[in-house]
Amino acid sequence: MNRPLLYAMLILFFFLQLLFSDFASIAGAKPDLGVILVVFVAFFFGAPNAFEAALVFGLLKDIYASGVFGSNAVSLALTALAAGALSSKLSRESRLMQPLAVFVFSLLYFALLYAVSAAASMPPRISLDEYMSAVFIPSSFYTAAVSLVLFPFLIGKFGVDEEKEYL
Amino acid sequence: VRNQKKRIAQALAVLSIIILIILTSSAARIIRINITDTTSPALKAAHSFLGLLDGMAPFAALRTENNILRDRLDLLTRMAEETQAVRDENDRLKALLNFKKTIPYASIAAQVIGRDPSNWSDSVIIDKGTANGIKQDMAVISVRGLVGRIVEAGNCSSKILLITDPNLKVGVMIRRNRQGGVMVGRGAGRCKVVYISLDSDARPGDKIITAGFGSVFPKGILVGDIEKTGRDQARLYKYAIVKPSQDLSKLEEVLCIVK
Repeated sequence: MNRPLLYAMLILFFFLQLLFSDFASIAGAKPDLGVILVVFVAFFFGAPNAFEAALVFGLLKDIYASGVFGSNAVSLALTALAAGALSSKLSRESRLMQPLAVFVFSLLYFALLYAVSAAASMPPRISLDEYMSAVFIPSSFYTAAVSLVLFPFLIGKFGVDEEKEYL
Repeated sequence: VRNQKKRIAQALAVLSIIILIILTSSAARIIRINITDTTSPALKAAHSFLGLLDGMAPFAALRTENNILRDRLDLLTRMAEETQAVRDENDRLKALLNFKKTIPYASIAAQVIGRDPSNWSDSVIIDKGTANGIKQDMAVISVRGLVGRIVEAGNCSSKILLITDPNLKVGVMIRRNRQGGVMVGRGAGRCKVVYISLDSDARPGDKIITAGFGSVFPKGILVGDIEKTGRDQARLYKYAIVKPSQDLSKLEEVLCIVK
């Protein structure tokens, strides 16, 4: 795996998220570029690489966000492990499977984030079901839609042969 | 090798959980403030650069529409756009200055240079810090209404927790009937006022203002309009979904109220 390229993508995606996410929001929903990158790495380069990418992206998020410090890193890292574990069971080259997987792992990430924040010092004041309908589901849909563009971009950049076994 | 990698991954997972537990203390705050502070000039530069690019974006469409006059049109339109961008900024700053004169509190104007990268929390980073007189827990407003409060103040940058963040609570009241409630962020650009009494006639369109309870938010600042009302699950209180008067996703300049 091309590690310098991975880190370049991590930084690029992070700064796009930091500077543009609010402008790109639709009815308050924002795409999560970190989830897309992590699922991509998990699919084509395995859980350990995805875990590493998730920790870095999550920690960057934690520095600039205002929630519980470490919550993004832990939630995204666990999502990366789940995506890595399931990647061999999914047809990752399918153009339908990719956004579907991004949607599901995005939901998992949000659920973990909610659980971690609830377990730490900041109990959420809005119920999970309300948050699901207001934020998590719309944002997961949006993330999945954006992945339709970003997955082919990443596949091209990393020169991934979708038929080849990388794991 | 694969098993070894798995073990390393598991160890790192455990380690990150431990880090999480440790860093929920004040150490996390110091790390965040220092890193945000150190990177704030770069953020400001990137923000200005992107603002410039944003202003030039319409040129692309014009270029494709008129190939014959492309070069000349590019130049003239870019100049017009840049002038317009400067004019817009001037108008915004003038409005902010006029507004600053009309509000009964001393305030510090600041520019937004970064936004929350997470879908979970809602905050923005501004280009003013303790060196400019910013302190933690200052209320922050814009020309249109309440924005949030300062949660972290670095030397030359600060973080504002927005009213749409689920961890921010504000004592509010309905301007028409003076009935009170507690407003919490709901995410997705909306807030929720809870603990409105059942006999309240709160209705969509009612203006919500700050109640002035506590020491952070002064009384009477416009927060937003009620979009819809309902009863909570236990049916003991009413709630209201509020659309903030300031579109927080397009926030560019703010005023931090000096206590």
